[in-house]
Amino acid sequence: MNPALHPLPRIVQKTLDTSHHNDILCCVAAGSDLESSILQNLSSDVESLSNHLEDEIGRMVGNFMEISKINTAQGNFLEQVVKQANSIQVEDKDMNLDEFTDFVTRTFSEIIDLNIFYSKEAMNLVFVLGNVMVQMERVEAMVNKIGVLNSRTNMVAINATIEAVRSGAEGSTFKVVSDELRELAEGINGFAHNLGAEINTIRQGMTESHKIMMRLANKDMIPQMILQEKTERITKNLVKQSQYFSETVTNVMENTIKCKEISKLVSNFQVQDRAKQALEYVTDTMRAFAKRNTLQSHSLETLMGTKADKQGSEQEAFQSLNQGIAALSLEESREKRLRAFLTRGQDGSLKDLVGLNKKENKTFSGEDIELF
Amino acid sequence: MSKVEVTTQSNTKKIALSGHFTAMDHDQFRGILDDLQSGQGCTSCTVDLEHLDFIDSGGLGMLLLLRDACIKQKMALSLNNAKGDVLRILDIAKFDQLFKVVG
Repeated sequence: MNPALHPLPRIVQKTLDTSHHNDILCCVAAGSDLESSILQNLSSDVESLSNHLEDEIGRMVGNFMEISKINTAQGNFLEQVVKQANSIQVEDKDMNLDEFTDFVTRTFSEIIDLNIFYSKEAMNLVFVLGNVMVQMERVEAMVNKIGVLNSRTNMVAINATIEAVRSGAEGSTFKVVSDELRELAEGINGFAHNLGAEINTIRQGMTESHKIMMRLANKDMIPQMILQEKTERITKNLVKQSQYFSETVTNVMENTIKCKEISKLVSNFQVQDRAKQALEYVTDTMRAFAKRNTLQSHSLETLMGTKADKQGSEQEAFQSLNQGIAALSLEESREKRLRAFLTRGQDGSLKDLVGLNKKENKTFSGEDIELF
Repeated sequence: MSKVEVTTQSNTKKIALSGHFTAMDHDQFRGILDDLQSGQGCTSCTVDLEHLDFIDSGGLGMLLLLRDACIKQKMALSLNNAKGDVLRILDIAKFDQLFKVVG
């Protein structure tokens, strides 16, 4: 035998030397049957895969459409949140956060300025009242001095009257003047007394005012100022936090919009239709070839004129296919699966030929797929 | 009550405040203002706050009156060495916009 003819089936090699036409036809018919059987199995598997893909992709697209709807609703919600976070309602008017911060800063600044102004003016008033009270004491001292001087005047007038009486008729004129002087001194004394009483009343009023003013000046406004400053800082921090929150929500919103667009794209992909169509071409082609091979096999049998015994030829055809598989140098498990597939639906002798038992002969269901 | 010490070096009047400077110190401080307004040939005034622990709004008011008096007398005024709570209060009251705040 010519080794260069390997891996041609032995029967074919034999017919090259002799003219066993029936053997040749039998061999071709067996090959056609084997191919037909394999193509039918393949088309059945591809059809099953196509249906499976259609279902899965349909479910996936449905999920993406649902995601798109949820993203739309979420986007609208986030838009509202951002709008709310960026403004504050003050007296039925929306005020944005920058305006609000300016407003709070300006208000607290004005309050602190006012506190400082009142503190200064209160102390100013304390000083002024203090000075007035000193002045009042001086005036009181002067009134007292008037009283002292008046007493002395009165004393002089009494002495003059006594001297006038002693002088007799000659001193009568002088007595009139001294009496006048004494009356005048009494009048001044009464006036000084009244003035002293009035001044005393005013001084009491001034003292009371000074006390009230001191009580006001002693009301320390520093704690309020510190509180105002703290409130201002807290407000600014809250506004800053709100702005950060708003930025974060905006980012989330942008991501949601992206997700929505992706979901829409996937939904509109119509991948299941394309995949189904492509797989239908493959299935139909394989079925057409299987049919053609069956017809060819029948034609050959007709040509041979009798029902040929193809069992030996089938084994040879499979053996040559087996050699072809070996030439692919596939990984062991993959090769095993391929052999199991090719012998599916074949009788036990063919399985024995490739060393497979029935247990490993599975149909396509996804269970025999090796997962990575 | 605050301890108030007034010294004069060359043309500068130095007022050193310590302890708590409040409205209760008005009598002492009024004397200082009166002296200042009488004019003693000084061209500047410094208020040393290094040993001042506390100041109330009355104290701030008196410093503002001192400022008015210095402006009237054309004297330069500075608040020196404030620290801690006193510095914080001066800051809240924005005194750095009204006074020369040093150290």
